[in-house]
Amino acid sequence: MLEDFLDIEILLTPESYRRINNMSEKERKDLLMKIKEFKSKNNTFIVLDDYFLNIFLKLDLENVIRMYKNCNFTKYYIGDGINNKEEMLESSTEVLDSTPSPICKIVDNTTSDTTEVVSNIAKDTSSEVIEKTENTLIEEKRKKRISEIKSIRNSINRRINYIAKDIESKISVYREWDVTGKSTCEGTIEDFKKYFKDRYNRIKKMIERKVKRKAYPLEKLYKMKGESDVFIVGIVFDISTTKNGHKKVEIEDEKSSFTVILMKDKIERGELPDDILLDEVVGFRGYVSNTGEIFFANECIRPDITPKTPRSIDEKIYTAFLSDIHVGSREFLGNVFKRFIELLNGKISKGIEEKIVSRLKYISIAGDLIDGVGVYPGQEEDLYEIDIMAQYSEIATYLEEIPEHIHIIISPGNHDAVRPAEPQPVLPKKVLKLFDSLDNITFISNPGYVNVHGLDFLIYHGRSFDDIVGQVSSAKYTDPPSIMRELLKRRHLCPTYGGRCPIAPEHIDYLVIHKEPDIFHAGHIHINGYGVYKGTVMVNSGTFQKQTEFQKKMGIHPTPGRIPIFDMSRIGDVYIEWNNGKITI
Amino acid sequence: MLHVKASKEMESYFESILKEVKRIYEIAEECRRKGYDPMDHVEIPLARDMADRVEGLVGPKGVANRIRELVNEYGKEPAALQIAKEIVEGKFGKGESKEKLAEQAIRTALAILTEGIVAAPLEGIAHVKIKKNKDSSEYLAIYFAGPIRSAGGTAQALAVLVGDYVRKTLGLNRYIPTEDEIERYVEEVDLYQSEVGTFQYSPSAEEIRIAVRNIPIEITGEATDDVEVSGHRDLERVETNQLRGGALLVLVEGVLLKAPKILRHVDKLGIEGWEWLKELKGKKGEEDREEEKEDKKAVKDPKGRLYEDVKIEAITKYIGEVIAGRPVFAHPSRSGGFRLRYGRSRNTGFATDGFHPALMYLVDEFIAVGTQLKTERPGKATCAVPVDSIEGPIVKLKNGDVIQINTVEDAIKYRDQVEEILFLGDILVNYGDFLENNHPILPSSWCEEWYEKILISKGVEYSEDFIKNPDHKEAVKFAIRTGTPLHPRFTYYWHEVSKEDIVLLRNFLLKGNVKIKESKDLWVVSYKEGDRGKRILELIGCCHKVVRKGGERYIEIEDYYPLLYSLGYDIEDKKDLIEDIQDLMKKAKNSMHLINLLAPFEIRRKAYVYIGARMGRPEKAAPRKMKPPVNSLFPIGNAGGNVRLINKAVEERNTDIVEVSYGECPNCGKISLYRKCPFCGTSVDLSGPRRIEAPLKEYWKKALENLRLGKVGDVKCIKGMTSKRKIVEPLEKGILRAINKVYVFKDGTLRFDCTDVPLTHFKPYEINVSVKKLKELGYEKDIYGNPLEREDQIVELKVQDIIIPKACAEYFVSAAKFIDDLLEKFYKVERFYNVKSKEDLIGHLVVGMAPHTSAGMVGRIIGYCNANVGYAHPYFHASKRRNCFPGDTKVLVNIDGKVKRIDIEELFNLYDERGEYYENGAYIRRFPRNNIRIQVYSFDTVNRRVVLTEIEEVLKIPSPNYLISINLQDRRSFKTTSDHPVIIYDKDRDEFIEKKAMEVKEGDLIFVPKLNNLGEGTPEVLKDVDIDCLMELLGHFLGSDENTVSHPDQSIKELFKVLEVEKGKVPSFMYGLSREYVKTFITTYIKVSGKKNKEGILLKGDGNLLGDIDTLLNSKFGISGTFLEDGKGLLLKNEDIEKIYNSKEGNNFGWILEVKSIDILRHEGHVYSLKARKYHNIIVNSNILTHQCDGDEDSIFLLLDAFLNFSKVYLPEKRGGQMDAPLVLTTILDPKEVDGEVHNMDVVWEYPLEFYEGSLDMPSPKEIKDLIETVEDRLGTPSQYEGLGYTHETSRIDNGPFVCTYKTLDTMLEKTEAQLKVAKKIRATDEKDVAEKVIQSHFIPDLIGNLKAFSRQGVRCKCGAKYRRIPLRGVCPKCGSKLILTVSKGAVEKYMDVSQKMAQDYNASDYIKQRLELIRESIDSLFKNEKKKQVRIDHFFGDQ
Repeated sequence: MLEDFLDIEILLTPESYRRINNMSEKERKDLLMKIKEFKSKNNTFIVLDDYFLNIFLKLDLENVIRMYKNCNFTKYYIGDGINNKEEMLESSTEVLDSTPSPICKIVDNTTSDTTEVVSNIAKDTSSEVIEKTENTLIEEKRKKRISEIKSIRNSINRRINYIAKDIESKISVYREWDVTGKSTCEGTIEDFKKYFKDRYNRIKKMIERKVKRKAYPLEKLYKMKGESDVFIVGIVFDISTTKNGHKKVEIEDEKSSFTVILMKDKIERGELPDDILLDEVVGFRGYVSNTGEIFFANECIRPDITPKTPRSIDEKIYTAFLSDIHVGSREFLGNVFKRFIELLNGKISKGIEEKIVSRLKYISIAGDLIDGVGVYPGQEEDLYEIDIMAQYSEIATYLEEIPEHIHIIISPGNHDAVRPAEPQPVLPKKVLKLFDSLDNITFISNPGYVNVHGLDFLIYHGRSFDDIVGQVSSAKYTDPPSIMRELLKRRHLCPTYGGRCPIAPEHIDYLVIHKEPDIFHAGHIHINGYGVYKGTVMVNSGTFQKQTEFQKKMGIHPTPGRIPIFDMSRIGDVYIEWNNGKITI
Repeated sequence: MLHVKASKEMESYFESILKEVKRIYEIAEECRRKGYDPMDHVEIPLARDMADRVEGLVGPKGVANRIRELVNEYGKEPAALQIAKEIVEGKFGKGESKEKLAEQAIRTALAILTEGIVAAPLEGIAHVKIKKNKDSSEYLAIYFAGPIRSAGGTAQALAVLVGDYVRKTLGLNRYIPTEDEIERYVEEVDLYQSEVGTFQYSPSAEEIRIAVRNIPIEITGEATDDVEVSGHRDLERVETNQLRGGALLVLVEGVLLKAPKILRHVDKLGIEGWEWLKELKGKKGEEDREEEKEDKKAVKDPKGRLYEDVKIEAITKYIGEVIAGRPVFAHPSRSGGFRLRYGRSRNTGFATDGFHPALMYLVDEFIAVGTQLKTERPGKATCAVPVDSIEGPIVKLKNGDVIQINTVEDAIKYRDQVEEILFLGDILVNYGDFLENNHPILPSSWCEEWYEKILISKGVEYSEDFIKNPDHKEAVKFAIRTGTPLHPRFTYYWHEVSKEDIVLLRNFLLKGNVKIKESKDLWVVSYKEGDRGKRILELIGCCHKVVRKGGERYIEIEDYYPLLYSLGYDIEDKKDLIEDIQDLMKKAKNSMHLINLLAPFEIRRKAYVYIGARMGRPEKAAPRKMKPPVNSLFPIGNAGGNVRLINKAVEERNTDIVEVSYGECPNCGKISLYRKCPFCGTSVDLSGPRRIEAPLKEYWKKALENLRLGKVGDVKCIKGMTSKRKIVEPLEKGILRAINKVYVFKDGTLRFDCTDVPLTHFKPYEINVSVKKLKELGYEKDIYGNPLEREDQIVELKVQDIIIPKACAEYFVSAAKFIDDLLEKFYKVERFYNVKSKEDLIGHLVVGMAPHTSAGMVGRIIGYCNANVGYAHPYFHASKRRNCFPGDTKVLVNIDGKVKRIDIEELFNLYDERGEYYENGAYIRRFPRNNIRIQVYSFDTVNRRVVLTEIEEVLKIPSPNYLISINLQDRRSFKTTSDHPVIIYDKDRDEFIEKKAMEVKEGDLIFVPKLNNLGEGTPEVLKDVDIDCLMELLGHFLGSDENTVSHPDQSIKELFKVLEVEKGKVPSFMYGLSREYVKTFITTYIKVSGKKNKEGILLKGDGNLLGDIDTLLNSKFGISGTFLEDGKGLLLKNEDIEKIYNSKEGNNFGWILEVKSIDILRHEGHVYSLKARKYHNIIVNSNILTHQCDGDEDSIFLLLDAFLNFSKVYLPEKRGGQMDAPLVLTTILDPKEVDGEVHNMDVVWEYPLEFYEGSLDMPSPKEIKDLIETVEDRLGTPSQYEGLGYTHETSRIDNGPFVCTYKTLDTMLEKTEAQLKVAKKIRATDEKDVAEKVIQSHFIPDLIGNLKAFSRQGVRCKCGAKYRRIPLRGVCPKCGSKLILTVSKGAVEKYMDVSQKMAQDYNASDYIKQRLELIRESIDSLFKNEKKKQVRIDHFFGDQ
């Protein structure tokens, strides 16, 4: 094989050799033919390195010839390393009168050529032709983007020592809490009935476990007339304020409902909460009035998580938290995202960056990989790519450029191509197909529970945050943990039904926080934040989408391009962030 | 002496009309004098002159004489200034503040300037203020409002000038704007154009700055559109952050656009301080000139220019919205769309365009005569009328033939064979419409008119017949011989194909040869399926036939000479004229250039621009009926059942209490409802209105006796009167109407509504009138001056003559009979009309009324036509606007006899969604589910009481972004859209007026009516129940915090269930209980839940319940409480408590509450509304009275009917009730005083050559105004009435379909299918885009909305209870029944299959398909049980 190339005065670099060796007979032949043809135009000695191999593989012959027929290859080989390469590129720029990146140039040229052709045709023929060419134009643009992305990894020549490469990834998904393939909803009233019963029973058990006693059935509560220290659990049906300013909470169990009064003074003293939400499941300890009709609460018991110190693992590896990439949106910050992937591929400065990158083992993505289609009216105006599959293949291409040893966990969001009602199953098969070539990705539902290298991750996109912010005064968009905390407290990801977050009435409430997570990862609101609540580390990754018109109108200031990174051996201790190219600790 | 300038003949025409008006007037006067009517004289005054109108419109008193003096002496404009000055100086009343004087002066001056016919002086100026500059000097600010538009640009600008003059007279300083204020104008003008609409002129930022800096007064105004500026907000001197539409209009279309006119006036009137306008004008001129220069430079070879492509931007606005069921005929500027043909036919002009009648049939009759179309240019909308002297459509038949269809007969013959409409043919647009819309003139198509002008200019001899019916061989020879361009008939759309295509076609055609077939020589070419050559022939619009012989196909071309010569082949000598085709190809800049290089003569460009269009509204012609239709304005209450038949009431010996004015006859002592006792003829003084038992039987009997009638059929009456005094119409009139099957409108007249189409000339046979009759009517000659002898001569229409649709004529025959009966049997005078057939109506006078006006115009019927339009002077069609409430607004309704306060959204959902349709952006439902009867409580503003009325329809409309919340004292409030009319009580005048919600101010008074009409009656089940005890129980139950009754007793539980008692709601039966019982309830409730404080008693409870209790207290005791801040408390004052305990009823008709504050709230989702029959208002939230909206239509009615039967007394009291009523009647049409739009209509017989050649430069229409005479040029001369010209003939004005297909199809699905079928046929229409738009604007929002709603829905119970989520128990906690989802699976999926099929069939974009696919998946994911499937499979395997 080597000889075939030597025959036409081509030297192969080791990488090229390896790659060509892996090719099929036909591919190799085609490549040889191509290079032969090229050499008929520019018969210089060529060392076929990775870079040019790509060029020959990815571009058609005409373009290669046009671009490189005057290229001085020898000059290119005299130097070595990146700098020289860049110089070379500059020189080729001179020769070719083109833009800085040779790949860009090539593609630019092809498109502009076609544009010319297109406009020529357009001028002279009827509209029938124009449409077709418009389509090809879109297709060309798409190809251009994809090929740019595909060049990310190869544009970095530096090799770093990936310590994480030698660490086996350990991922196990809690399938019992993953709705995928198990949706039972049929759209009947029975579904709703089952759904809320399941929610009630699950959380009720948590509360009972907490206080280590069974809740008294509401139906028989009247029997406890005058008794104190009665314990009940119910799902909140209605909340109102009495004329005296006390909170009146109507709770239900499966058989009956009951009115609980939270006295004003107790709320003021902080003994009882003032943030009880509709439909949350909550327990009370207190006494039943003498009439047997009202329950006076002394204590409110929430299923809250148990305090602990944040759990870490012994191995020093890192996890990066991403969400809301929004590929396809005109506001998508492709360059920033590309820089992050370049970082993972070794475009780093020595020191802390190298340390982190070499040990970075996991990436968790909490939804909204793409901007989607039809998420809101008129969205097509805001998209540079209106084909949802093309959006996915673009993000897939990006993820392909991430070194294979890094394991990626992906959960969908409200912009993704799954049903909007939560819980959302994993991305549909035809989307997953696009990721077929990658075996370092684990897809999970939203919400999704996964054990990553010994730590329990709860990944939830965060649709319900919009509702919480309106209901709990301490929860603020600007401080995502203030919202996430409220969910942990209630052990439910969407406590109030009927708000902005649609809920699919499954027979199991997948939105219950079944297990106390070590790390709670969310997104959705495009503002990153970090906090610890009772030993659970909460992280909201930012976004790769600039402030949108809508956000501008609503006064939301996102924090794009900031990626939280955790040292898994020092959870809750250090918080590292990659902020648009800079690492901060 | 007439005040208008007219020829002798016209004068005698006017005089004959005047004479006839007088004659009829006298007949009516005579009848009226008999005293049977509310007034003893005819109530429609005949208008005199402008001065009278001004004084009447705006005052001040006594100004009319002075106006006459000044106008006579100086002319209109100086008179206006002088009057303004005199008013400010106090000549017409002193003592007013400076501001008030200034305001009066400006209003009066503006009224003079606008002839006192438009509303601008009244409503266009909100108010005038004296404000302060930074240096604390005073200046004048005029606040303009939206209706200033009706004044027109010049008058607007002059109003500013008047303002300045007033300012100087008052000795005020000039307005010194801050930088922020200046920039605010710049921002607003820009924002207005992007968000609201376009101005006639788009000024540069610099122009605006110069103007604002220099205009000596502040042009400001009220917010008109709920669009807010983003910068320059919260300025100290600018009260609103929203757009000031009126002010912007005055600034841009007034001062800036009319700068030259103002300058003229400034010079003439000698006003100082406006020199800057010259500068502005100069600058503009310079810019223009520079541009021109550049243009000129670019043009090198004028000949070469002819071939150049012209870039004309497509305008897509008209197609932004495609309404389901209304087809798109051509996409914007798409090839094959309507070809622009300049000119006017006798039935076009004035926003009415000519279309080839053949096309109307080919588009499946979706265009009928009079159908409104939305067009790409020059204006937004046009009325379609048939003109057949323009090019017809070119179509490709299924057999491959391409033919041009030039007759209706052919259209009908071929329409089923049409495969593709290649070219839609011409649209005939008159120059005036370009002028009116200020749209740049577009290059003219190559047409016969232009061709003829060229021949004339070159002195070439030609025959008329050659222009109209050229022979193809002769056309070629003629062109070569005379060196003129090829005849337009044989000029093809060469520019539609590429140069390569032309060469290809040439090669393709030259393979053929001449064949003789049936003594005709044809060019025959063989071709194969899919040959590009054939398609090219189609694309250039060259007609040909396809012949199949054996296995071969041939194309036969009849007119082959021009085609072959055009391609450079000399068929005569069988010689190819071209040596090197490739060389020519290279030389040619484009296909037009190439074809000219090939041809031995000049070939012009067939079309430069195609015009897009879609269907707007269908045409209309129908009698005006009230809803429900009635014959008589005689009130009978509920006596006649639902249909209110008085005969039935009498038969069944029923009667009812009605509120009317009446008196006791001093002679016979009987109750007289009329001013003359019907029993003895004595005069009676009427007083009231008061409630009285209607003496139906006596009146009925007496009326029949009076009319000498035995038995008569059904006579439909009204329930009650809405007028202030409630004086009834004599019953005899109603009976006679019923006999003649005609219906009465609210003002006593009988009307017919129809679409108006302009017409200037007619042929007698078109309008079913005989020559003899016409001669009697004063039509002596045809347009050529020949005596009128035949029915096919063309005659010029006299200005006040009208042609009514056949349906109208039929209705009027009955109307005339009714009036004759009335004269004979009621007034006992001679019959007047004696009409037996439609023809007999000819010559009679009618009144025509435009919508939203109060002045009628006398017209004369001279014929009738078959189309469903009225031919007359055109009126403006005002677009309807609807306004509504958010879904949680409570409305007071009556469902199956039960009083309920329910959410308006809930009300909407009570209506059957199966009958839902979509119109003008609203979802409309008309029929309640399960045949329940739903009525709504309205307030009868005339009788000042609450009434129950039918709901005509309920509507759901996508919400605007903002709603306005109007908060009243007592903490009552409601939310509505910003331009929803709100009923405001005018204290000074003691009447109700309407205001837009956004115009409501703090301190305005809003009305809470007393609900004394909620019904009476104890339910059957309570017969044996101790009601007092029950009331106590209920008081406890509802008042306490407990959830259940203390002592659950099965029988009580049962009872509660039956009575629909539930927590947080007053059960509806209680509204019907007697006051005593309710007292028991209330006192108990007070005991349980009341808390005494120093003002009274505070009731606690849920907001909804308190709302109900408030309603109850209101209706039973006339008490209106005060709500607490959070709505969870209701304070009853001590004196009110007393009323309860003493069971005393308050003595008022309601409460007047002050508006405390107004909030603007963000809102998403939908808003709702309903149409309340007759009263158009509803009672919302805490019993607040508000308005609901309605629209008006154009109409005509018989003059004698108007004189005899119209009475202001019958008019509804509310503001707007006077709208659409003939309060004044104009007897002679003065073109100066009609809508200015018509002044731009052109009146020439031909457009000059300069116009056609000039059109290529695309000048502004004003630049070439001198070339074409318009109505404006003739104003004030006798020729304004006669000798109007038109350029294109049409053989018949009604030569087209009469009914638009849209009206004949029933369901939305059928309409949509038909719409897409049309789209598919037309080459210029992208059926895919149409389908996409329908899917996107119709189906997807529905699907997504329901999908979202499904996963957050609440549940309801058949007992009426509603829960935001299903209770854990799974059953209704109140009644234990099963619960029902509010959003069903079926509702979510409704449009899924249809839209996906449509997307598939019409190959919608991938984006839409993906969206639908995603929605489908989401739906499946929600509704498909994945586990079930699995289990089954597992099971299956398990069994193995």
